[in-house]
Order: sequence, then structure tokens, then C-alpha cells
Amino acid sequence: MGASYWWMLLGMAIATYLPRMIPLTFLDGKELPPIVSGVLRNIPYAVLGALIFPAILHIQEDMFFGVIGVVVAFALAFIGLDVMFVVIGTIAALALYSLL
Amino acid sequence: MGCLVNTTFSQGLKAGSSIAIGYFPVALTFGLLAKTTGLSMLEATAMSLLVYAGASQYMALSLLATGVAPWLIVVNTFIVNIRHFLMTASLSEKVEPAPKWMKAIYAFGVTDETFSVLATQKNRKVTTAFAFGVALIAYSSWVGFTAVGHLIGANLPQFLQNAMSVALYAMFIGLLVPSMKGNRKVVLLAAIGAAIHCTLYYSNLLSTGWSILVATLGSAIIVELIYVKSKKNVDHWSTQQEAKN
Repeated sequence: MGASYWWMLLGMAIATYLPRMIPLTFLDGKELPPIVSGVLRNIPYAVLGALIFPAILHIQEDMFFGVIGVVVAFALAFIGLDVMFVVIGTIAALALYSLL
Repeated sequence: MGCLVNTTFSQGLKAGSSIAIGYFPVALTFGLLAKTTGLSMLEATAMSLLVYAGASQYMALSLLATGVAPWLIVVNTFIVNIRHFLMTASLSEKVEPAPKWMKAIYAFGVTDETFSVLATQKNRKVTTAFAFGVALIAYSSWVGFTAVGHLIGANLPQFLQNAMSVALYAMFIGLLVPSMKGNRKVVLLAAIGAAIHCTLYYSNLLSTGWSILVATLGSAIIVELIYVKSKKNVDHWSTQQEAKN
């Protein structure tokens, strides 16, 4: 790869950084209308739903793999385990499943 | 567990460590694929160092391999990452006041995963030190394991690699479920977000970059309109928690 690769990297870096930086830096302390601020506070939970589904069902060819992952992770999180143990427990369950 | 008040840098490192685990197989595989695509160690690691966006980096590799024009890869990168506008706008409501240059630095570390960890903190405000801690450990894992993947040029055993592909999603679930408990608004937000995204995904209406954006914004607006009369806040649960502490 030559110089064009590095120009591409620069472009990718800017295209990734701007959407991260502009709102966080410049919305700082602005008093937003309550409805806008309410929508913004909803974003984390809406985005988590959209990030998890349907992607988790397609992490492997075998859709059962993702289904087991969903069930185990929900169960571990529901009984109140810390995020780290939810992650490790789900990996362990699926490792077991793929060895069986 | 939910009662820990996360404020310091080292608590940030700890809270971000599940991201670091989740990034490990993804970054390792990226390093390996970059090598097979013909990138040098320096070129591969520089991409993780400068761009730091998993989906776009994988996309760039496959487009490079098929000889797509570099400027088109840049445009695609922007489209894939446009959802971060929403995330950082949302985060701006949640972080403590800090000098603009400081926010501009840790904004670089905002990914789907660090955003999820920061935004679901039970504290009313996320401190700058905590944000730096979460961002740093996640970033280190991403860059470090990209280099390792390129260096060793080998994969983890197949069964482990398969199992670890669930890591980031398990983390998302682990972050979401505690907030869902006793909060119907959160349940509704996640369910509608998931439903819209599934619909867009299976109907092939939009590319993934856009469909996550549309699903998130759609769900956040619909649910806000439902709740606007009852004046119930999504933070209802967390403010109760804080009152208990």
C-alpha cells in the first residue's frame, strides 16, 4: 500500500472523529427544550436494543448459538451479576455448547 | 453492585474492562485479516490507532481487497459512523461540565461500547476522569490486540473464537437488563429499537449504518411521545437509586 492508503486513513479518521466530537463538545451546557432532552436521554436504551437485535442472532451460521447467548446473558444479568461476569459466563456457556 | 458510585479514573478502567475483553477477539481477527489483505504491521496498527471503529475498519479491509476507490471507503466510513452523532449528543446531557478541549479528547474514545457503559451509569453525571478511564482501557485493547493479531498471524482455537464472538452483545445485555428492571419505559425503548432494527434489517431497506440510526431515533421519539403526558423520566429508576445511597 502506498501514499493513497495514508490519505484514506486520514479521511477515515476525520469521518469517524467528527460525529463523535462535535455534539459532545459543542452541545456542552446548552439548555435544550425538554422534549429534545427527553429524547436524548432515551437514546442509550433504544440504541442498546438496536445494537443487540438482530445482530446477536447472526454471530454464527448456527442461529441457535445466538439464541443461547441471548438467553444465558439475559438470565445472568437478571439475577444481578456484574457486567463482567455476564460476559464471561456467556462466553463459557457458548464454549461448552460448541465443544459438545 | 448498582450502588457503587463510579467517579474515578481507576473505576473507569475497571468499568471498561469488559469492553477490553470483548474487543480482544475482534481486534485480534482484524490484525490477522489486515495481514492477509496485504497491510503491513504499521499500516494495520495505524488504522486501529487513528480510526478506532470496528465496523468501518472491517469494511475498509474488504473494500481495499476488492479495489474500491479510497474516497468511497471514506464516504462509507462516515455513513457507518453517523450514528455516533446521536450517541454523543445524548452523552452531552450526561457528562459533567469540562473544558471543551478535554471533551474533544475523550470524544475520540466514544464507540458503541464505551457509549453504552458511560450512558448506563447510575450516577446522574459521568465524571471526566471516569470517562477517560473507560475510553483508555477500551482503546488500548483495540490497538494492542490489532498489533498482536498481525504479529502472531494466527487465530484463537475455533471453538473459543466462536464463543467469544458473543462477548460484546453479552456486555450490551449486561448493561441493559439492570436498567430494565422496574422501568417499563426502558423496556419499551429497547424493544421498539430492536423491533425497528429487525424490520429494517430483514427487509433490506437500509444499510446497517443508517438502520441503527433510524431505529434508535425512531424508538426514542415514539416512546418520548407516549410518555410526554405522564412526565415520567427515563432516569426515574436511577434517581430512586441515588436517593437510597
